Amino acid sequence: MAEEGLDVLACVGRVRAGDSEAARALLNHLHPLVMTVVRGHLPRRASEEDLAQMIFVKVFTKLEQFSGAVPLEHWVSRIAVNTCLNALQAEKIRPELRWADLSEEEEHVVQSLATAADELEPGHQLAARDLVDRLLAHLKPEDRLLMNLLHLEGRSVEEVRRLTGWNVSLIKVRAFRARRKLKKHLAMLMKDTGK
Amino acid sequence: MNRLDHQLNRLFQAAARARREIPRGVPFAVEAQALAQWRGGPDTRDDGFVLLPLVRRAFALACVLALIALALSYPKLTQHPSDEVVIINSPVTLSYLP
Repeated sequence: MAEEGLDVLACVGRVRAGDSEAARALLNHLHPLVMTVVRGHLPRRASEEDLAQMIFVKVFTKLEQFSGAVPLEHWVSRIAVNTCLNALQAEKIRPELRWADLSEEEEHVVQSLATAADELEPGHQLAARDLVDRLLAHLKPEDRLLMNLLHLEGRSVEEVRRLTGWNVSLIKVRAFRARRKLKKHLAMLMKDTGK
Repeated sequence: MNRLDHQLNRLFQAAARARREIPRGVPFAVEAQALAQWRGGPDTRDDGFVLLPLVRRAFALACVLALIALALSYPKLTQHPSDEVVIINSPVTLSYLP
């Protein structure tokens, strides 16, 4: 849970001075932020707790390098995103996605997409998320991260640039190619609905 | 925007609305491990990388020494062997002849 009214910079100063209570307070303050990033970019076989722990260890051991030029949350987000990207890079890209791989709820989502033009029912949101995760598993780690940031977290290109360090043109080209791949996989699933 | 683009956008929109609860409070294991590493001082997991420049320098030094040794022994390697050495080596040289 975020610590309400925490003076982050003062807290960082106390952590640097070796104050354990301040370190605990900072950990609690950053936990929701780190968990949000981890949830969005978790590799299939990784434990979110392990990844969060890895990020916190990096944040605390590198805290001396935090200059204060950007808000601490941005700095931590960047560390979290890079740690997740490294974890994703260790993961192999999945082979082709087939209709038989989908759960019943995911099949409903694909059928709804194919037959109706309006928004998906709220009851299908979790299944839609699972389906998106399956589709994203076919992308390269960088593309997967980018699709997550742009389309699931709703971040702007500028925010993505700040988080990843990639330039704007690279982000746009990568996003275009990643969407093209996703559409290809989705089209294959749509084709299977007719069978 | 074509039909597939529209379908993909609808899928993303639905997926983005799916909220998974974030556990309240930091799990004990995460807190304990992070704080233990922090108390343990600077990150020591990169020890291998700390040694890497040392290994590189040692390799470069070894290469330089090898070159110096080669340069010093070059005259001896190129000079024609004396008659005594040729006589002593002659059985060996003859044994190689067809």
